[in-house]
Amino acid sequence: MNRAFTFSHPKIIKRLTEEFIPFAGNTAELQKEYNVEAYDAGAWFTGMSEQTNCRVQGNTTQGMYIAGADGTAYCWKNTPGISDTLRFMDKGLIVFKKHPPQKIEINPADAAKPFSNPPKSFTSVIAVYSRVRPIPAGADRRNRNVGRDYLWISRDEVREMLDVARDDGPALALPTTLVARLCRFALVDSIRGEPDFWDAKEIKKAAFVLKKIDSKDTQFRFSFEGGFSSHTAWYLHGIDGHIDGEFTLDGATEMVSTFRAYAKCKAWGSSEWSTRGVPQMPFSLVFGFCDEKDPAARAIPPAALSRHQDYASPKFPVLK
Amino acid sequence: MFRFFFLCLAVLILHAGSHAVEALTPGLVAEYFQVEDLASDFPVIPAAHKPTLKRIDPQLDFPWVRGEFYGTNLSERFYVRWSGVLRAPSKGRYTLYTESDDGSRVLINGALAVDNYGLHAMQEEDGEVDLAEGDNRIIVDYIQFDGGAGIKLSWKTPGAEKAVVPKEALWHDPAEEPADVQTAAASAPRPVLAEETTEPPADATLAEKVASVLPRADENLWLSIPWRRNLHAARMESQLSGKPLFLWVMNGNPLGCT
Repeated sequence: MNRAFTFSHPKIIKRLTEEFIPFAGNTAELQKEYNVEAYDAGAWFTGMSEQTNCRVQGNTTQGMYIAGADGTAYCWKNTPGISDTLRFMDKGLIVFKKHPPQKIEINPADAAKPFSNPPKSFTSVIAVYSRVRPIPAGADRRNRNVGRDYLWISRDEVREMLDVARDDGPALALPTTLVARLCRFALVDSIRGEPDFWDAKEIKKAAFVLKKIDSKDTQFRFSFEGGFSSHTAWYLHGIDGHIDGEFTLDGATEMVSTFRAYAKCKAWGSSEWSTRGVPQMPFSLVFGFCDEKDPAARAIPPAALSRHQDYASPKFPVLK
Repeated sequence: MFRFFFLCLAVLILHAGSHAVEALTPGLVAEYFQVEDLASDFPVIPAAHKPTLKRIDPQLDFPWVRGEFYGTNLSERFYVRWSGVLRAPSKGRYTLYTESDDGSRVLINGALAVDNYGLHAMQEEDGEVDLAEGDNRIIVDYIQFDGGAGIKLSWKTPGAEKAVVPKEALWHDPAEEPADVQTAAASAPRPVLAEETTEPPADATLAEKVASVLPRADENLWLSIPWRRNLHAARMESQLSGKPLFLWVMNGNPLGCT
């Protein structure tokens, strides 16, 4: 079951808000083996999580924890059902009250440090949403989820488009790195859980056309459209569709001012980690892209960033 | 003398019993409850919580449907209890099945026979049970959280193929029949069904197409929880408030890439 669904239950919202200090984070930023910065979140989290034996029997450190500020772990669970979560909260509160944490010193300077891997102030952030639509009759409820992620557009990519647009140059095109990031990391099926991002060799088609619509003062308006196709070996998992979009670039800030894009595609198969509930037959997947002003977007990186070191300049095949 | 008395008593009891069997009427008594705080368990309904609908359902053969559940005016967050008698044509080992979206269970003579627990799509579970020939008490519990709904009760009788439990096998005592059979639905307010996002029309603008993909308000409810993003700041707050930390940790920050 989808965890967002569980955390939408009124009882759970009320109890988390009133009885706990709720925190959400990424294992890749919290685990000691990933988090090697001086900032000691990794040590604190790993020390806490290991008390729960969460890694026994092939589990990861993903899931829900109830813990004290001193690093005492009271309980851990990685099943997201509503009843399970309510029982988990009951259990955690009982143990917490029986064995309250030690008072400790927390350096306020630590709390002020950036906790995640946020975008640079001049990086543009685009929200990416996706849905299975229509949902096949009788399909698993996981297919009702909304896929959510972010797409970063770098200042260099904005500059590249602006430079050509200012000169009304004929070579106007989406930057290769942006096309690669879009195809490999944004146009993925994340509806039922953790997606597999596409390898460069799995991108089979990315034929986009960029046009300048007009410009006024520092604002340059563009449209783009094109076809894309990606699949794994033997066509076990794939996506094949078309995208249309419009965006405005600000020549003064060299950032995206507005962004709208809609993609529709045929998808089939599932990623390695979200195999449950995938429709048996190819299904329709739609994507909506829009500029994101929510502060969370400037604090939380795209999912692919912690798994693909080439996120900024993704490898991309030479397509014929 | 005493022997004669007990013989007469036994005859009377048997006679009364056969009358009771003959007096049963077809179908199971169905009580439909709207339960706003429904979780993934079968709820315990307080005595004061009256059903929004009572009726007789001849069979439990409700294929998956989106929206209103078969004339009940209910579509989401409801619980149904069907009760009555399962009439077995012969003594033997039976397999009972429920296929349901969401959870269901079957109790035979008070014992759990099929456990199809939880919130899920149409999913079938089965259980074996030894039935005496004739009448056995049956209760079927069913919950529907949101989205599509459906339930089927099937069985495999000794020497026969699996089939939906026929009308001829489901009965109830008229004394248990609700007085307001088929009347409550008409006056019950229709619950608001979460708006389904649909394909925008062919001539929709780009903005309308994008808007059709964005999360609806009910899909952003979990974001109303004041999730903290800085672990050490959350630790400080936990210490000051005396409340424990609740950490939700996933591969990929759950707030950005659920």
